[in-house]
Order: sequence, then C-alpha cells, then structure tokens
Amino acid sequence: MSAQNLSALTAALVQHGHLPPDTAPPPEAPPTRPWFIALLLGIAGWLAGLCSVFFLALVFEPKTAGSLGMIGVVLLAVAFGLYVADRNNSFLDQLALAFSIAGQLAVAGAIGQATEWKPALTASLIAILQGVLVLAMPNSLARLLSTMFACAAWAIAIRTGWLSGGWFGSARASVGFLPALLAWLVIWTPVAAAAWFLIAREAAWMATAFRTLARPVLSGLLIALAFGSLATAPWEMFDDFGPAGARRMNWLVIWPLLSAAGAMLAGFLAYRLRHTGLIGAAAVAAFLHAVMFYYLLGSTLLTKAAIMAVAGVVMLAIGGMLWRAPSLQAREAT
Amino acid sequence: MMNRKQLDAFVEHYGLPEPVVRDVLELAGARPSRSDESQFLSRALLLGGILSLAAGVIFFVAANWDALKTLGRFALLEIVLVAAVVVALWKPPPAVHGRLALLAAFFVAGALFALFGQTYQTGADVYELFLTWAVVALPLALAAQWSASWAAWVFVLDVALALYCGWQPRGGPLFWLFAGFGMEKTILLMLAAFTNLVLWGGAEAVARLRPASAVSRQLPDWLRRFVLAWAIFFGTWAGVVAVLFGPGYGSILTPDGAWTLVLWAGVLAGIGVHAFRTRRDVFPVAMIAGSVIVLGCVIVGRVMRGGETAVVFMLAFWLIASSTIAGRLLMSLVRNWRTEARET
Repeated sequence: MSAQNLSALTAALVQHGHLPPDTAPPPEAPPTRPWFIALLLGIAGWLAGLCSVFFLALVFEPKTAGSLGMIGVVLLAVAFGLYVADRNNSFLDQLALAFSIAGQLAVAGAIGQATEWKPALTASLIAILQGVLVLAMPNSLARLLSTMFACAAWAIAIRTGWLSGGWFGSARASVGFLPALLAWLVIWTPVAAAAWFLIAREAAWMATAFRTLARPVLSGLLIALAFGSLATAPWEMFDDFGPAGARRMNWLVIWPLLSAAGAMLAGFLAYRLRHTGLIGAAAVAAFLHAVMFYYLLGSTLLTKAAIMAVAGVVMLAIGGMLWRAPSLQAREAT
Repeated sequence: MMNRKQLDAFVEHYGLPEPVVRDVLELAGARPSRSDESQFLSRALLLGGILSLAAGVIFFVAANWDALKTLGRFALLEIVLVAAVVVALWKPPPAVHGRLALLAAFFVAGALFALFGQTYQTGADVYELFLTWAVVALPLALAAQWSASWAAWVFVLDVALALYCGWQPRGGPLFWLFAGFGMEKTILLMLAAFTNLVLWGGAEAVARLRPASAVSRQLPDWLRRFVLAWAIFFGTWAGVVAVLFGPGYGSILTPDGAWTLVLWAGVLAGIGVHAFRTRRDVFPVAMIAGSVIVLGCVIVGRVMRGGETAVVFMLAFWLIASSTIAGRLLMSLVRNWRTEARET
C-alpha cells in the first residue's frame, strides 16, 4: 500500500527511521499544472511570440543578420529578466515565454541569414542555442520547450547533413535501407538513451538542486522522442516526384514506423514516471506516425501493408508471451 | 497518487539524500514494479499489434492489388472479420482477447466498406463511408464494453461529421436530411457540436448517477474529455467561420453568424455551469478558455484597423493577456477543487 499524501509519506519515513520522530509534514506544495493547462499556455505563449517577432520585424525592419540577432538577444535578455524578476506571477511568466519565443525566432533567423540558410549548419547552431537556453532560462516550461526544439534541430542537422544537401533534398534521392535506418538511430538513440538514463538515475538527481533542470529536460526529451520526428521528417515525400513507373524505393519511408516505435518507447518511459498525460501524448504520436507512413511516398501501399502486418504479428507475439507470464495471469485472475 | 512535482518539493523540503529518495519513490508508489511494467508492456503491445494489423488490412485495400481478384479481396477481409468475431465469442469481453478481437473487427468492417465503394464505384462521398462505418460498427463498440473501442467509434463518427460539414458534398444521408432547410455551414457545424455534446452529457450523467456501474467503467474521464474536445472543436470552428466569412461592410457578421456566436456563447456558458456545479474536472473550463482565446484572435484579426503592425501587436497582447487570465483562473480552480475533494 503506497502513501497517498505528504502526511502519510512523512509518517512512513519516520517509521523507517529516515526522519526524526514528531516531524511535521511539509506545507502543501502549490498544485501541479495539469497537462492541458500547460498545453494551452504553451501554445498561446508560442503564438504570442510569433506575433511579437512579426511586430518587431514590421517596426524595425531589420535588414542584416546582425540587426536581427541584436533584436533576438535583447528579447532573450528581457525574457530572462522577467523569469528572474517574478517566478510566480503568471502574467510575467506568459510575457517572458512570448519574449523568449520571439527572441529564439529572431536569433534563428539571424543564424539562417549568416549561414545563408545552409541546413545542417543552421540547424546545428540552433541546436546549440537551444542547449544554452535549457541551461540559462530559470523556468520549467521554457526549459521543456527548448529541450524539444534542441532535439528537433539536432534531427534536422543530421538528416540534412548526412542524407541530403538541401532542406528538401532527401526525397529526390533514393535513400537505401541501411543509411535510412542508421540515420534514424543516430538521431533518436541519444535522445532515448538520455531519457532512459535520467529515469534510471532519478533518485540521485532528485536529491540535488539538479532536479529543477533535469525534470523539465526529461519531459522535453520524452515529448521530442514521441513527436519530434513529425516535425523533422522529410515532408517533401508527400509530393509526387515523377511518373509512377520512374519512382524508386526510398527507404526514408520507414522513418514514421521507427518513430512510432520511438513513441511507444516514450509511452513506456512515461509509464515508469506514472505520467498519464505523457502516455496519452505518446499514443497520439504513434497514431500520427502511422498516418504519415500511409501518405509518404517512396514505397507501394502493398509493401507498406506487408510491413504493417508483420509488425502487428511481431507485437502480438511479444505481447502474448508477456501476457502468459505466470505473475500476470495471477494478477488478471484477481 | 502524488505527482513528481510534489515529490520533488518534499525531497527539497527535508533535504533528503539519494538512498532515502529511493525509499520515497518506493513508499509513494511512484515507480511501477516489474510486474506492473510487464502488464503495461503486454497490453500496449497487444493493442499496438491489433492496430498495426488493422492498418495493414486498410493499406492492403487501398493498394488495390491487381493480382487478387474481387472475390479474393472480399473473402480475405471477411475471413479476418469472421475470425475476429469467433475469437470474441470464444473469449467474450471483458476478457482482453475478446476486446482486442472486437476492436480488430471494428477496423476490418471499415475496410470492407472502403473495398465495397472501391470495387463497385458506388459514387458515395468519403463522409458516407465513415458515417455508415460508425452506424454499422456501433454494435461492435457496444459488445466490446471498452473505452478504447468507444474512442475509435467516436473518432470515426466525428471524422464523418467533419468531412460533411467541411466540404458539404451534395449527396448521402446528411445531405438529404439537411438540404431542404438550406442550412449554412455554421449551423451544420453547430449540429455536429451538439451531437458530441449529447454524447458527452449522456456519459457525464452515467458517470455521476451510476459511478460504480459497468457502463460507467467504459466511460472514463479521458474518453469524456475526448468527446467534449470534439464538441468544442466543432463549435469553435462554427464561430471562426461566422466571424471570418461575414459580410465585412458595416457589420462583420451575417444574421446566421451572429446567432451562431450567441448560441455558442450559451453552450460554453452551459458547459461552464456544469463544470462549476460538479466541481470535479477543470478540463471543460480549459476547453472553454481555449475556444474563447481562438475566437478572440479571429475577432481581433477581423475588426482591427491600422494595418498589419497594429493587428499583430493586438494579437500578441490578446494572446498574452487572455492566456494569463485563463491560467490564473484555471490554476485557482485546480487548487480549490482539489482541496474540496480532499476534505469531502
């Protein structure tokens, strides 16, 4: 029987000798923001940031990378100041989020201009920028978003740097099975491994001040693992590229399936954290990956049907084996 | 169960070292056991496997494979359908195998309709496929007695409604039902919203009046939220259409558009009253806030004068101000309603 509230947990720790007798339970912490409120505020803040950067672009009309970068840095500095000034004021929090998003967009635009929009270089620098923001911004939602954006930028950097020279070049080339598989693994294995490691070492970092950084980073990694490849996939593969007979097999088509597996892994890791919101998000992501697999060109529907059927049989076989384990049978019986 | 934020604050308050934090996670039940993990994995894989197989069947129908003749295609799907029903009869719901088999049958039934339309070129619109699928597969959802099957059924029904309301094709049962009334798109979207509101209201009533019943167990919180989210989606869509496609001279709204907004405001108020009376779930209030923020953005974009600079400034201001107010209100409700729930 687990402790259901802070008083019961305090009493249990006293009983185990970890706390002195007569220890009073801690004051009730403010309630956690439910996922749907965080989503609402996050989307509103992101859109406000987008509008803000448009507004500033219209007012100041920055022509060079330097002027755009300057606007971005000032906005990020203001966002940082607002976060530090009052961390419990929701208006300042939302304003800071909007300024932070606007600043990131402006700096990203400046980086793009400075690198002449070379995809791998631009995305790599944006990934580094987001990594710095994860460390610098003293706010959990800002850290979570920056972790997601860092993963997305990292994914685009590897895809465009390895598999094609341009933002939309992959579909025109015919990518083989091994490069497609390896590229996906190189992108997403570190993300999954980092999330796995943080969960495995959760007790260690919870005991230190590192928890204020690790907690939002962990959530950001799981959301990126579930949804990231939707944002970074070769979207041009939705286009027709030549007459049907001339189409070649493009193994980038398996990316959505691999990403569905990644979303399922994210769901499992979220279950280890008992985070129902993230489990639901991972399920939605897996569904969206399957829809994407249907629409991506690069293979025939017949091949895709066979792949889905084989994947289904494999999952049913493994799920069935686990299901027949004596411990689960006993639980089901009760 | 306590969440991670509470546990982080607890650990910080007492300055607990790592070995004790491990005990904290254990005592709070914050980490699933090996057996819990196996159960979760097995269920996720079984569900994923069934959905993957069902997707394979749907892809196969869409592939329109020449090597397999008409009879062969129908026979293949019907064999899968019959096999699924046999498994469900052998191990009927609420057994897991029966539920999974009926879910598979649900998807194969949809694939059969698609194959029928593809083979005989019935001329039916896509929304008709989804609507017929929802009607015919209703007994399967009923028999499965499972929230996942109900979610799939609601999804298929709402895709049908969205396809009809969005494109208003001239044919099929909904066209014959509503064509004579000369309804505008906004009214059709409101009807789609009301359909979902009726389903949501029914599910809420069952959950409140018979919380321990078998039917109530099939309608968990997440499913009721899913249905309500569809209702809010259709209603907000109606409001957006009413504002965006108004006459634009003198007034931004047509009479129908104005009535749509008034009606939608009334519906949102009704949902809000229900949420405040039950004082249990903040999700409906968050959905209301989301709808108001979206409609506010559209109204700002439509009525603002002064060029695009003024519009984007006002949009940014509206988004920050409205989401701040919404965030404060929602979090105060979360705090108060949780406290009340604990005290009772």
